[in-house]
Amino acid sequence: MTTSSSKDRRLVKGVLIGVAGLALLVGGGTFALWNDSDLLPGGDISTGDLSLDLVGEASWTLNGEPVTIGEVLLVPEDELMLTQPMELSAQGTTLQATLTVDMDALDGELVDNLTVASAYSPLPAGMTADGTIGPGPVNIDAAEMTASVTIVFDADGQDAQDATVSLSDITFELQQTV
Amino acid sequence: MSGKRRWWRVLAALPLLGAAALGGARVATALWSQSVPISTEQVPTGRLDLTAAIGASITVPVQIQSQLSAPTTARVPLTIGNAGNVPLDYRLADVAWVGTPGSGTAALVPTIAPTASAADCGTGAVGSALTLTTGGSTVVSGSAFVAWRALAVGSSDVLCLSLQIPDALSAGFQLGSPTITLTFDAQSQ
Repeated sequence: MTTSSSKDRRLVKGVLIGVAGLALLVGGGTFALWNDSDLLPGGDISTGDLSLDLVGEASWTLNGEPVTIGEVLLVPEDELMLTQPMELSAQGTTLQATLTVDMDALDGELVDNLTVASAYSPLPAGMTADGTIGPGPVNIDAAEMTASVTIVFDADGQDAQDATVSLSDITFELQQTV
Repeated sequence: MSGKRRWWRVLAALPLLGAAALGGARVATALWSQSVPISTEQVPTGRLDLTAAIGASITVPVQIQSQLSAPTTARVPLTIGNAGNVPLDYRLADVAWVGTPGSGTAALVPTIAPTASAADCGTGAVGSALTLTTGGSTVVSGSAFVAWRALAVGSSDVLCLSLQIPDALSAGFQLGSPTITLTFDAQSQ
């Protein structure tokens, strides 16, 4: 009985000492160490921008004649041309990027029968005719330009008949390269 | 160091290597990019479908049996149609005798000519005829009829295929069962 009571007292004491130590560590630790803080020199750092917006009305021609794209039935040697106004922003001190037209999403049969090319005008400073942007510093801020995308359909024999070209599978790809 | 310990160290390093690989991959995907479809429209491609239909009697012996009483010529209308959904051009590309020609085949002179209707091919006037073979040899090249002819969607041309039988056949004339095959090329306009 006496032994058990003594053990309890020792346990209570131990717990109290532990709690006191923890309180010292948590509450008093910050006052015990030197510390200092200061602002970095140079002010704010801004990030750049790389974005493309299609603006205005797109227009299509088929073999040079204006056409409503939803009414076209393609045959070999047809040449569709899209004229699409757009706004390009490309800003960055070290930015390098490319603006291309990609048709990787087209299905296998059609991708062999379509040739796509693109051209842009007027070219903003920092961008070349092949769609290369940069190397930086580049500061193209919502530059208005027009993309001309030429899609040539060609097929031999009985290839690619009764197929459908989903133009949503042909995309403008703006890609940072560095 | 024991072999077991080395293995444990290798195993312990694997998560670190994996994390490093993920970090490397993230660098590649961290570049800015944007993809914008050029349009949401769909554009179908057309269908080219040239059809050729001829009267029931194309085999030469049948024509001869039924029309020998007519002096020297048997005629069969041949309808060339555009069953596709795009306008097309077509032309005669090749002529050939097939089957087993008899000794008299070379004496036959097939010709072809455009005509207004299948009925006209029987006894009516036909256009300028093109001789297809002479002496068994193809002679279509260089003729005006070999030029491309236009066919709108759903329309057709009637051509009159004639077989001229010479007045004086040789004593050993045995025609056999030859068939003439005409091959047409077609292309979208």
